[in-house]
Amino acid sequence: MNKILFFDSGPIISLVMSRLIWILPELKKNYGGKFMITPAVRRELIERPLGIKRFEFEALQVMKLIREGVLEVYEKVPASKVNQLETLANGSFKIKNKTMDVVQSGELEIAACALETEAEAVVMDERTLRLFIENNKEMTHLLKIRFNQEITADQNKMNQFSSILKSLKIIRSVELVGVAYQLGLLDAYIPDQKGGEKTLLDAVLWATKFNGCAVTEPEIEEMEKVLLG
Amino acid sequence: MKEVIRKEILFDLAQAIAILEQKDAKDVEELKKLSDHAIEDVALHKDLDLISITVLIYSIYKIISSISAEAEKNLLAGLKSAKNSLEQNNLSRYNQNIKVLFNLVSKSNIKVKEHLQDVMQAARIKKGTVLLQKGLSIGQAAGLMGLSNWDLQQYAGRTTAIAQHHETTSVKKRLALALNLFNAK
Repeated sequence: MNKILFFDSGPIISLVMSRLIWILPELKKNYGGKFMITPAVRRELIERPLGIKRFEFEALQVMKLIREGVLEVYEKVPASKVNQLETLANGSFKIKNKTMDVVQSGELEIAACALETEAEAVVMDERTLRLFIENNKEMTHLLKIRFNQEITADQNKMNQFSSILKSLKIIRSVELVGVAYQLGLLDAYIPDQKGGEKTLLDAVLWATKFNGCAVTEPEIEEMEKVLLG
Repeated sequence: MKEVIRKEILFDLAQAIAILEQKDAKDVEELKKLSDHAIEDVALHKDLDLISITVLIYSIYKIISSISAEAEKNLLAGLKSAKNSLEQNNLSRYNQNIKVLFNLVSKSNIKVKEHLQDVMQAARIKKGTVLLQKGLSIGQAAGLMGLSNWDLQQYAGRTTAIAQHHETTSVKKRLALALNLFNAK
């Protein structure tokens, strides 16, 4: 394993929108390795929002992180691996005998690059791809209960997909925020009141959830129990 | 336009026309149900004409209760024209009809614009969120609806759409991994 973490666009968006993106350089110092993104993630984080007035400043914040070397762009995307993963993932489900695309190739770039570089983990808030990697039966279940039409799942393709990516470890922005709390990076925000630490932790974990991290309420409660000891 | 798409759009237009013609008190909710039905076809076919009609129907749902009788009449006439054009396979006229319909929605939308972003952008976000609920990834849902991940993620986080699933990896395990990676035990 190499000291690399690959970031999807989701966790960066969650942290920027939660006004917590400043923890990233601090976390990187502690990590002692590289924080990487792919060209597709850069496009989604910078090029795209630069053309949307509402998100222009957000794009500049991410651009600053790249300029300062906090985030690095991994350009050698293994296209054939991405294609293989895309064919498997988006060929796994059929409705009315037609395959349905559930993930984008850009999202799969992260997984392929993490495998290629033997990265320690990927940081991904996105639920669909995470479920696909970690629990493809739950993915099938989710689609079957959500669509009003008959869904056919190709278990063979799904297993192949999961098998390729089974070594991949995934964390989310909410865990990064938990780490920042544990490292004391957020101490300046502890309110001067009884249970101040719990208030702070609750505030930052929920902020991350409300800004797009796929984390459930029981998970937040569990994190608070662990982190507050 | 593929035949399967043409049939789906004709179905959606016929339903929308029937709902508006009935002028039932439940009109509004029926339009919403219709656009929810149409979004499944969007996920399946990834077709721009289908996306367009889904956004249009949802936009009409959002404005229908606050527009004048005349505007409603114009919308109904526009929908009928679009249906006729498509039945006759006259795609250039159909596209023109759809453009006129979107203009009608925009003009009827001044009140909404004062408070929110453009109603059609809101419709795209709303329908994108429905795609997330159906199980599509944020990138896929945003891409289909012509949105950026920034648009969709912000709204997704405020719905229960992305937290209604069972995680196999326990949060304790994931947190332990993160703490370990950053030497923060």
